Amino acid sequence: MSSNSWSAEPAVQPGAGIKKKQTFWKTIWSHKEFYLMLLPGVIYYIIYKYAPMYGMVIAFKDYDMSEGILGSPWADPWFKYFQQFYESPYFSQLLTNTILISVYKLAFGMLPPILLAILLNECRVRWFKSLVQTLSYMPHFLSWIIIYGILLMFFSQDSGIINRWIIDAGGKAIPFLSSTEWFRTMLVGSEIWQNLGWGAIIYLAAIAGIDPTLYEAARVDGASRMQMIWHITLPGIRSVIILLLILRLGHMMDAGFEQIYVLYNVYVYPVADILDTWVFRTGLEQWNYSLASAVGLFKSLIGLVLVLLSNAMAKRWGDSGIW
Amino acid sequence: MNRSKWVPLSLTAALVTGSLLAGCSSGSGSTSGGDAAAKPGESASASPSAAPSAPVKIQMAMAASGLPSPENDDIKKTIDKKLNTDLQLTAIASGEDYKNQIRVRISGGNFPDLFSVELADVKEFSDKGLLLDLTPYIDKDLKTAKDFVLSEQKEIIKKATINNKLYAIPRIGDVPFSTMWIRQDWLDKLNLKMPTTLDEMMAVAKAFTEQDPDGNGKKDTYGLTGAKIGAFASVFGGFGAGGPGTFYEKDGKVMNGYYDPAMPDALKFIKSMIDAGVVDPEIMTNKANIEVQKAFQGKAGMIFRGWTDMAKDEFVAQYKAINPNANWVQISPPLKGPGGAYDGAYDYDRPSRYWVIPKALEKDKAKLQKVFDLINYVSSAEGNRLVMYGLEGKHYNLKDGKVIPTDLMAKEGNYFNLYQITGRPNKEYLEIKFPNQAAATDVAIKAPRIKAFDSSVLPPTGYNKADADRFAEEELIKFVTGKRPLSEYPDFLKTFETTFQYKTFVEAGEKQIRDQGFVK
Repeated sequence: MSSNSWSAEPAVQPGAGIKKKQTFWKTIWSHKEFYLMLLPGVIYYIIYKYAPMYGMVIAFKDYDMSEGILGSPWADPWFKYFQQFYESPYFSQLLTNTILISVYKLAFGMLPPILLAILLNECRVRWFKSLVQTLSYMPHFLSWIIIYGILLMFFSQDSGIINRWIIDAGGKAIPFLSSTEWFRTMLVGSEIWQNLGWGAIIYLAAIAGIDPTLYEAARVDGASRMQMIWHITLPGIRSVIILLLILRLGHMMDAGFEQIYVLYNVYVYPVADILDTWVFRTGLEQWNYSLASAVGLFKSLIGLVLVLLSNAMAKRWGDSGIW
Repeated sequence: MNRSKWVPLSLTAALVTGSLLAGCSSGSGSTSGGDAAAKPGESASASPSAAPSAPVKIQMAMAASGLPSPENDDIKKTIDKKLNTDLQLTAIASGEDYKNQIRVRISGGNFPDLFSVELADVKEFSDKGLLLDLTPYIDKDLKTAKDFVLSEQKEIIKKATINNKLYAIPRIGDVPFSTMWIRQDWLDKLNLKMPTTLDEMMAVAKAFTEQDPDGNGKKDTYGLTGAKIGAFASVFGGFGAGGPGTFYEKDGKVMNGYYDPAMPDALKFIKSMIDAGVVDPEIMTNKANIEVQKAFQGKAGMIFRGWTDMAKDEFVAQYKAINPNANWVQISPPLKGPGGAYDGAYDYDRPSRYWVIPKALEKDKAKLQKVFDLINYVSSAEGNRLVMYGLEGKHYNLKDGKVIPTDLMAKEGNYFNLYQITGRPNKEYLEIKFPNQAAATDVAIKAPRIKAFDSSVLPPTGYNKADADRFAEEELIKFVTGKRPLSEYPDFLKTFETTFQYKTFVEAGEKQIRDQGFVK
């Protein structure tokens, strides 16, 4: 972990500031090719990610497009839009839905790609492996509108194939897509289906990076396949699993706007309306950008706190975390 | 080891920055505003160009699509020749993008000379003093245009009036298209007669559901399909109610649909239909025109819909391809109920566009006059014919004074309506453009409807329309599906008024309608 040589310098004595500075620039100079390669990325982030952040101030302003960001008057009180958000009759429902849907997606969506990656890794029939891999990550490239159409064909109350079977078997049609009991299952299920193969790619890559000598040694010692998976493969990708988990936690407050906006309907608002869909209807459709920014800021802060916390926790449990 | 270092680093950066979507997007929107402002200012370069020979450049902007390039734009070329102008129309396809761009241009002081905005924006911009007050001009300089729009809609000027001042030139409103449609061949097959009342409609819907009108031996049809509560417009009309949230006149007073005493009765009737199982169970979740597809596929025998979706040649061909015997006809006159017979409510006086002129143009009299000339020209008999039908001999031929469209009109004429600044006489226009649908058009225009005033109403500040809409929609559906007893309707209104501040909206609406003089 200590390849960042300048951060691993021994503690400097008081009065040695100038010297430290020199070594800092010296180190950079000695690795100048790497920093040069890093430069375009840094510039990209500064221009497209950091600079636009000043637009965040409109969360504290009565933003008016014809006045511009700087010209718009400050909101009075400064938390006006946060208050407006908090005072919506749906505030607690929106928050609950957002967190619940995220947690469900995290809890149920984490394991399947790992499983698929391991299965694919164990598969010895090459053409079958690539066939499965291609098929399983194809849905990632479908837009939610198309997935909605597919879901309708399967789960529509009136014409969906599953309900046809249920009715033919003497049952009663289940409104999968328009009942509060089933809707979140549909959300989580379709999300897993869409991202299963895509999510497995990163784990497959991690598995490929495991030192093959470990497997050879295990085989010599007479380990079974299951034992190799358990004692070599899983520990080998452990850091990647934790890394992805931490990153997902940062998106805890994004429960999937596009998906929900396409799938939801009036029957399932109580279980499906999330912060982002509310912001879309209230903030953007009605040109209330200040409100939209206030909610965006609120979400980002929570996401940041979650990332910091989970990273600290990962480190405490002996993993490296993400920084 | 190397990978485990750079992947996390860049991913962290992406994470921290990526979630600030809302702030970023509006930020960048306004940055491009600066760019727009930095472009050569039109107002500066245009003002000295009032020399008699040079054509006057007029910039027009609107949300629309299908505009050809200027060389192929016969309408522009004809108008330019006639008025000695250089008319530059900017048409932006997406309404959202257009709205953004107009605001950006305004913030940069770079106004188009004539542009179309929504009523709420007419108010906002005029409050800021950005728009030219047309009150002093309308009776003299714009008389042709005024007479033209008033000849079609007597009240339309009022609709563009805010605080007793006219800030926009209204475009003649659209005519209603929607009626209830029914499968005549299903009626014939089951030996039923055309329903004339709501109760008969209910009986027909039952028969359509239970007596296998498509003869496939399966119980897979419904009486009625549609999308959301609007599918029941005829039911609300039959009870004399204007539909949820609509403003209209009842007994000499402004009435809002939610407060109409007939509303609970109408909801009760809808509930009885849903309880009887004669309504498409997905009626509240149908979207993206899927309900029309269901109707065409023979899944339901009735639908409340515009003729533009049901009777155009391509749609007739579509459902005939599925079933050659299928025959969709309009129910006319509308179904009678205890409160009358109306095909829902319709806002007859709603202008289809609001055209505004920036205040800055006041200083450039010559150009302002050209803008007035343009508006008057497309409102005159000659100019209006040009923007409706195109060029004589190319897009149409005259036969005994009647316009006969050529094939080129269908091919090239789709953008003509962009230049119909003040609109068109709808009936005549639609009959010539859609000769095969003339009868259906006529039925829809003549169908009695409750006259709505919604286009007079601007929501007051602080009223959260999105939350209120969601609440009302959810509760209405609970009432009609029996999840909430109708005896609780007054409680619903109470929550609606207090928690969701609907009262402030209704009061503002009533005041605006009375101020415009529609109801005393």
